[in-house]
Amino acid sequence: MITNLWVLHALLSHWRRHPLQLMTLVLGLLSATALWSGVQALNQQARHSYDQASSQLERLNQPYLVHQQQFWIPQVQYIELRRAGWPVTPMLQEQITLPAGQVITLIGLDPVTLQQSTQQQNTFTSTFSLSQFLSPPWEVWLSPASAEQLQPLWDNPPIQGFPRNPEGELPQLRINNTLADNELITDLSLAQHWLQQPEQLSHLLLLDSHFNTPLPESLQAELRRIDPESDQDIARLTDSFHLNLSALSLLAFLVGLMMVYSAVHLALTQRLALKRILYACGVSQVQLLGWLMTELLLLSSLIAIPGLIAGYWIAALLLPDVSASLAGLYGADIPPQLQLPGGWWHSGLLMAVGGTLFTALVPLIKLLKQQPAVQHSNPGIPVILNITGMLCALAAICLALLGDSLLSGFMLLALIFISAGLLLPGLLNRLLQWGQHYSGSVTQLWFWADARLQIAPLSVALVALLFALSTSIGVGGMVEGFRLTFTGWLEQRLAAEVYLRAEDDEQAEQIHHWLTQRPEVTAILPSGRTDIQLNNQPIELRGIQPHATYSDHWPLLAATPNTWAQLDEQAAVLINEQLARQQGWQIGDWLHLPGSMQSSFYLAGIYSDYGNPKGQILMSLDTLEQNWPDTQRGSFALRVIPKAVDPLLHDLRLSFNLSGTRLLDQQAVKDYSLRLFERTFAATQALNLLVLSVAAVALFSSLLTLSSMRLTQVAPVWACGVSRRHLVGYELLRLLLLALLTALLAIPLGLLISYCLVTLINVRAFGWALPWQYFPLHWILMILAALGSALAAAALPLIQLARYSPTRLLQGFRDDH
Amino acid sequence: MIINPHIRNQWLLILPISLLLSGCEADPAPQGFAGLGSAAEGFQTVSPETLIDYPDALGAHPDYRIEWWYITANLEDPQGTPLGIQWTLFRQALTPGPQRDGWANQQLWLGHAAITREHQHLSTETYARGGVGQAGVTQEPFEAWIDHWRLYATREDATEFILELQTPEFGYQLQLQKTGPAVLQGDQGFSIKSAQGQASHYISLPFMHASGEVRIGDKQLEVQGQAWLDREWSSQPLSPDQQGWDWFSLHLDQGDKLMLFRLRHDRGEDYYSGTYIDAEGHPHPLQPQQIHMQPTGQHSVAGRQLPVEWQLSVADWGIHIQTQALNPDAWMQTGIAYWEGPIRFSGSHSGVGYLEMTGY
Repeated sequence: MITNLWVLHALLSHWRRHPLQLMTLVLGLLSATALWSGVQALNQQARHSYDQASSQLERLNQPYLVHQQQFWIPQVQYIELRRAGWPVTPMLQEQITLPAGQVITLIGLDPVTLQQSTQQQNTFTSTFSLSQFLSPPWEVWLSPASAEQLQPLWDNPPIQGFPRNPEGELPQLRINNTLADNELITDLSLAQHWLQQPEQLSHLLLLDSHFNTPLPESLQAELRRIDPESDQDIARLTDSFHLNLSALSLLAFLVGLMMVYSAVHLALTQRLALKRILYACGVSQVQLLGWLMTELLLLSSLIAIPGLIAGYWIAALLLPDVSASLAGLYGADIPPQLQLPGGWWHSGLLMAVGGTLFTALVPLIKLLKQQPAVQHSNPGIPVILNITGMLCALAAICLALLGDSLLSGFMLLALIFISAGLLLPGLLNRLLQWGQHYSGSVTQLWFWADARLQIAPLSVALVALLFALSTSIGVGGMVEGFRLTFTGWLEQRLAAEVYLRAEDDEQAEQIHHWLTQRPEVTAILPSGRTDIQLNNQPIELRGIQPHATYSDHWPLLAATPNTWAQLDEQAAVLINEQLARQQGWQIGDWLHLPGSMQSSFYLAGIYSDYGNPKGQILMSLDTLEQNWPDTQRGSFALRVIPKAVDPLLHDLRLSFNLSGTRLLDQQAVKDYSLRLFERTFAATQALNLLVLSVAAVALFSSLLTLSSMRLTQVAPVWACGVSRRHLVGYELLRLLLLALLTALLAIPLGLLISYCLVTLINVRAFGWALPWQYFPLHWILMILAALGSALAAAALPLIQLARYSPTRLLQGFRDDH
Repeated sequence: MIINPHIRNQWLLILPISLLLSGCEADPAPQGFAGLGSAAEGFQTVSPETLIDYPDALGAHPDYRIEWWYITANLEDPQGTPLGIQWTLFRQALTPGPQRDGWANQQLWLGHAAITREHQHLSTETYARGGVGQAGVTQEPFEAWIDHWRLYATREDATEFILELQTPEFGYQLQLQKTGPAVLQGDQGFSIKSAQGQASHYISLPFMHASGEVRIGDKQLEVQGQAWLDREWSSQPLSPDQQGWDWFSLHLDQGDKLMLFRLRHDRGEDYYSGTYIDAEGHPHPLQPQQIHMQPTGQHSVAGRQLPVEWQLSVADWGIHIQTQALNPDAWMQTGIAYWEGPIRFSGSHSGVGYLEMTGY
């Protein structure tokens, strides 16, 4: 045992003598673990909240009962249903106008029947007290923004009425940031009091959606069951978003592992001598292997923990952006606080330790076979690398031709990366060979030949750089292209000056009448919507009043010669790109839509509809209303003389009490959409940047590795009379050359990746294609970044070289045997 | 289109799954099992002077903090296969004081029900608020209900009842016929629960014949057997350091009955009590030292160890029996979870009964 401990001690002492090497190992593993586990944390957090949301949405999205003739449901009918075994919970939802004029939705509920399923865990908060919610002075739950709005009313309440309770006291305000703005939630007793509706309810929510018993006879003429649309499968919709993040984090993990590889590789190589000594001392190969593994296990588990903490930190940092984009794209609610299951820590630890051991496999085998890991004389790149690279490229081509799923898209990307990584050393070698061929002097010849010699030991770092650069070019290009397309599309699509949504039909009519009296309003364009299910997919139907605003501005991807006239006159329809791809529909097809009076609809155009996860069908408002009488109306787009927009908005707000979300001018809608867009890609871009920095560190660590081995190669050149200053110059030049070549090769690779992203991944993930665009300025930036990181990485080893004493250089000869 | 902000009600997010009986505050101070040891200022307190009689005791006592109507039955199908049912209605007041009307009413109601066979145990629960008619108890004619669960008297003198329950998984409709007198437990219905003086008013109908139909899934079974009804009310039935109990109701084959319980303290001695009821219905309260209750077999259920086999002795009445659970997995998967199921016993006497074990 004592001997064994000495072996471990001897092995570990290596790190004490090479602290920089240890640092690169730590950095590599740290960043690999941090990036991987950080993104996994984000994904898990999101999935967790979808699961919770879906169990809650299942209820919100449950069928409910309303009264057939009136808004209110008498409470006795609720009791009658409960006593007949109906799993219903009562609700009272109505808008109230505050003294200051804001309209707010009051929701009264009964938490006791709402929480029917007690098998569930408390998902929300330990601060909720049932007895306080149900007992005087009662509680009002609201969002922080609503609380801010209402606080003055609480500070300075009227003598009676809202917000006083029946006993004249003020209920407690309970602020919760998971709640929507402009909503107050309170107990039914207080809600009934405030609305002055004793023993009245507005909805009865069915707690079990599979409950299909017919209504009791006495209530059949009174109540009506409404089944909601079932479009809330957020997890399915957001899968592609998470797959994107996962792919990026896997890449970061691999780049980090490359650093680990170079550190481990170097450490093992440098311990060849130690190995010989240990063998001589009687340590067996199995023992040595055991202790090397122990050392790696020890190191990796020690580093994994701060790595996980860093991952947690990254996730916490990115979470607001991720949740904002998920909310914007899919309406998914992710709470802004990270709550991670225990499994996250375990899997992160396992990934780090497993990754390290896997990375160390090849160097370990080499060490035990007593093969010097660094080849001194033959710079040749193993042929197997090129062949495998070619095979991977071939497989990628096959996959590109045959695959059609999102997963196959990502596999294609992976194959492109793998083949590029495998082919890079060979390609660089070929390029340098070409330079060598044209070199004039002996020094030049040495320069090229020596550069070729460096490819093999630097290959891992160069591949890391290639990956980081090409990802940056690819993803950056995609995001930038998307931004351009999206902004242009918004410009066109949002042609009307004002958008407004009335609260109900009655208000809609009043508003319409009011608007006709306003000379500055040049066109009132009402629209309607309803939802249908098509092959179990939710489809949104939109009805518009045909007008030049649409025909002049609406961007179409494909159209018949007279699309807009057909929409107006022949009840033709337009569909969005998502739906066209999903259903394989083309211009000229006749569509059969469920629930319509008309048997089929002529498809006259396809339009782009970025950011919408759902399929959409556009038709004239008349067509929509004739076929789907339950169409919701009340939305208007208004054409207004530009300088009259602000006064009009002001008057509208004043006359109709329209809240901020119901009345928007064009600029507000654009701002909102663009803000959402920025946030959507903020996480992607942050991750991208992190990957690039990891690659720079990888390059640095490889150079460190290399510089310590360079002595035997540099010493003879020095002996031939090349000064140390010149040697430093050549070294730098050579390195910059390698970085430059890699960066140049990263451009076509990045373009290929960007092409795959816009034409394959986006289409399969979101249902819309983007034009493939490229941004040469970005490439130049990337080349500069590559050269910069190479320069930074080379600085320390080169300073060392410049300071080498002649004795140290002479040692190079001693070691060279 | 991206410009349509999703505006959605998120109020369901605020709803916790809380424990009704415990009033659901996470109070660090000990409250006994299910909050039954909570202090009860402002509520009516139990007293040995209170006169309890039947059938008045069936009615509600809203001035007390808590009460329950509790029925167990040991039944058999025509093949003689045993099964047990349990039906309980709990009431708890959140705050003392006069009863408020409508949804403002301070009473909460909770129903628990179960059906147990040798290899099957199904349990369910339901919640309601007082003041609106979803749950409640009326005196004349007697009816206790929550949703469509009902126990009601079919005769004015409360000697015959119907017990009804339907859930998607199981249901039953039983006629219960009182065949012996109502029995006051403890000292004339004043049942002491701890050495510190916590107590409840407690009256039982241990002599009841049950018959009717039981449904499990789609399967209907004709059943008959013996039932036991308990009425108990109090404002603080447990002392704060009592964490649970083991309670037995036993139908001895000779026709006499035995009720025993042990209240387990965090610290110190457990508290024992019980009543031996002879076949004529005369109660003989038992002193703690007369009772010997010893667990003899443990069983792992719902991640806990529970004593599902017991050795019970009341030497003064010549009772030395060994009990066994019909189904050791009779775990109530309810908001407040506990073990409750039919048992059989042998030894000096044999028979059937029910065992309830809480706070494990």
